[in-house]
Amino acid sequence: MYIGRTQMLVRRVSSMILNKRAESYVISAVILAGVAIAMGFAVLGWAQSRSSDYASQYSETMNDETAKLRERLAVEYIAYDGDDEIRIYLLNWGNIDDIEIQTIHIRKDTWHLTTSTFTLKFFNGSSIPDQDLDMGEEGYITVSTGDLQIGGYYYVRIVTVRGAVFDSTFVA
Amino acid sequence: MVLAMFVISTNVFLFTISQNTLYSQAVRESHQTDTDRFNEQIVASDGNYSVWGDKVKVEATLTNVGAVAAQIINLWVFDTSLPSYGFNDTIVSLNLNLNPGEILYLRESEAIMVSIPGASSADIFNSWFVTARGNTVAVEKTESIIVAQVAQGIGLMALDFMTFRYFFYGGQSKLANYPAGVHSYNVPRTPEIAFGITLTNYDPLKRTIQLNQYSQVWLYFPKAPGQSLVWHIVNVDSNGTITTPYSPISLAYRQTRLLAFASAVAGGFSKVSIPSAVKNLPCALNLLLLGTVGSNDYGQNIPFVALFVYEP
Repeated sequence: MYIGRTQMLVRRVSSMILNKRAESYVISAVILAGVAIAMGFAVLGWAQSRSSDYASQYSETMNDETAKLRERLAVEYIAYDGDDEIRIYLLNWGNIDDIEIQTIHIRKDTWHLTTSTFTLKFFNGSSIPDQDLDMGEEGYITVSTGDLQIGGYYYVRIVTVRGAVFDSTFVA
Repeated sequence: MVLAMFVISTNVFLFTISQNTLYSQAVRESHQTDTDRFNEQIVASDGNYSVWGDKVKVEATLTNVGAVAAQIINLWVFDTSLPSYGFNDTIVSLNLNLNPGEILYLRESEAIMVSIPGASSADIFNSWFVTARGNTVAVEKTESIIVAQVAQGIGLMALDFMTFRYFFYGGQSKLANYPAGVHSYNVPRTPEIAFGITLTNYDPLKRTIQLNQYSQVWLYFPKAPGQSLVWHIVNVDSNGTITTPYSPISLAYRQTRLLAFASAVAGGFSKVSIPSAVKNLPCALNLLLLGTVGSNDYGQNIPFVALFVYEP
């Protein structure tokens, strides 16, 4: 009776050791875990990369918006000399350097002129090398307008590269 | 994994909040900048224009009636008669800075010159200052009623009572303390002195007045009959040196000018001594002006100043 039980135990253990199917369960479990971990890292990396891109883009946008907020341009005087052009005298009174002018719009009723071709000059007439206005810097631009109506009331809109908009008016 | 994702999303959330905080800070700063600009209030009054060649001399009184300090960086002048304009952006070096409540007098040597080729004293000018915050401050002109009062009641030339001064001679033909002088109505008998008087041309016809060598300061002493003293007009350069012979001095319309009366002889130069007979006596000072206004003769007597001659 006792011998019979021992024999059965030996048989069971040897069958477990020699059972090839039991060994593939372990391997498959390991593989499964490995794949899951690898996928986890991949997703983690992807998420990290996405969040990093988002942070970078968001930061850039915020910096641009903040810079735009700090831009201030004052129009000191706009002169129409009757010679088909106007001079717009500007002052950067804001808290940021490098205000670059992208476009000038001049408007009266339905007449409208947009230009991006001009040279920024110091008040003494010499050209500003970097074509932008730093803090406290003054400069002027000359815009060819063609014939304006003498005594007419004109609107001027100055758009900077950062997207800030400054409005003024003048009488030709 | 869940923990890692939680950490990432928390990072993103915190980063977004920090960026929003920075943006809010920038918005606050931007609003403060605008508020400061709105609170900046400068008044430019007592405006006066005179023309020197191609330059327009602008005199004004600047008062900061706002709540923030302000800096003047530019002055624009528009000549409506030509029409033409000019500016002087070098005034930033003059440190025209005003604390709240502060007053700056831009007169005489502190007046600001703006170049406008072709401008004349008969032209009508408008001007405005520009502050470092980009505000423009229009210069209010002196009331024109003064012109009428001076011209009809007194004559074409007005004397600036407050700037009356006297000078000491320094060397043979020099005024030692020119142009500052001593602002007083008590004058020493010795050493010899000369007088400085500021005049403005208010001719309503806007003509230029030219003063000849007979223009003089005349003192007479009521308690010493027969005693009268005369100081003739002289040309003085910026160092106080008296140049002879005298060449006529011109004052354009609205031009204000400090004139020196320092010579006992007309057209030349010799010092004037005050005799001891008039020591410690009061006297009346009369200004006798002669010359031409435009193409006409001109003569005017301006009283108003009284002096006491003390013995030092």
